Amino acid sequence: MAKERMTPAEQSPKPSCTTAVVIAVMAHAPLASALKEVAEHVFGESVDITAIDVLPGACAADSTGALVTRLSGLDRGAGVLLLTDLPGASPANICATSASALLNKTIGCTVITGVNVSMLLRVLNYRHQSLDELAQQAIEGGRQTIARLT
Amino acid sequence: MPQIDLLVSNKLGLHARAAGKLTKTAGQFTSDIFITKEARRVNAKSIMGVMMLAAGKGTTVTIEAEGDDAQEALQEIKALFDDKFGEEA
Repeated sequence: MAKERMTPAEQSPKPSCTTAVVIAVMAHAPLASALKEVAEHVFGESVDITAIDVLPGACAADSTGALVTRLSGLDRGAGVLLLTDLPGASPANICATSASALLNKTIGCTVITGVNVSMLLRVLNYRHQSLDELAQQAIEGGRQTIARLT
Repeated sequence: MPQIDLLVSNKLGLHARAAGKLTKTAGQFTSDIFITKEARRVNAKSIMGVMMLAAGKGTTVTIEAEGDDAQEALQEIKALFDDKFGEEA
């Protein structure tokens, strides 16, 4: 049987971390909640992610405090993975300032841009990995499905 | 390694939700489980890997399992395919 070499990321999603990382998606409305709905459709059950739709006019200065408070309350000690859409846009800026604020509170936080469906599904598939491992999964998962189909 | 050939017989093939069910079922077992379509072999516990096989209705795939619960895993996965992933009465 012909075999295709698997990348390390495609190996079995065995837990390497007993405490789950908090996964949050922050994106231009309605993308975050739409992505969560797609994930729930695919897995056929509710998924444990926080979806935050950013409305027009939101800015980092006004929104960071509330986000940091919310994510601090959700943290289980394994940190927070923040997935956002466009680098340089308000949702990503809010994520970046929030990540700094969380780190000041000694809560690990990694922000990954370019969120898409495959990134989110991949992260959920491997969700019991550590924050660093999940961040790598997110990047690889997000890139994995970008291809010319015809 | 124990293996079994299975026909994808549901109308939509191994689409997103069916792939989700397969990876969820495979993930319940400790065995390493792989699915192969033609020359492409992927981890059956990886949803993106399974989905990117793009296995439509009428495709035959091979499931391999290796580990203490390999036979049980193959039976459960066969039942899932036979049940058309619960999508068609």
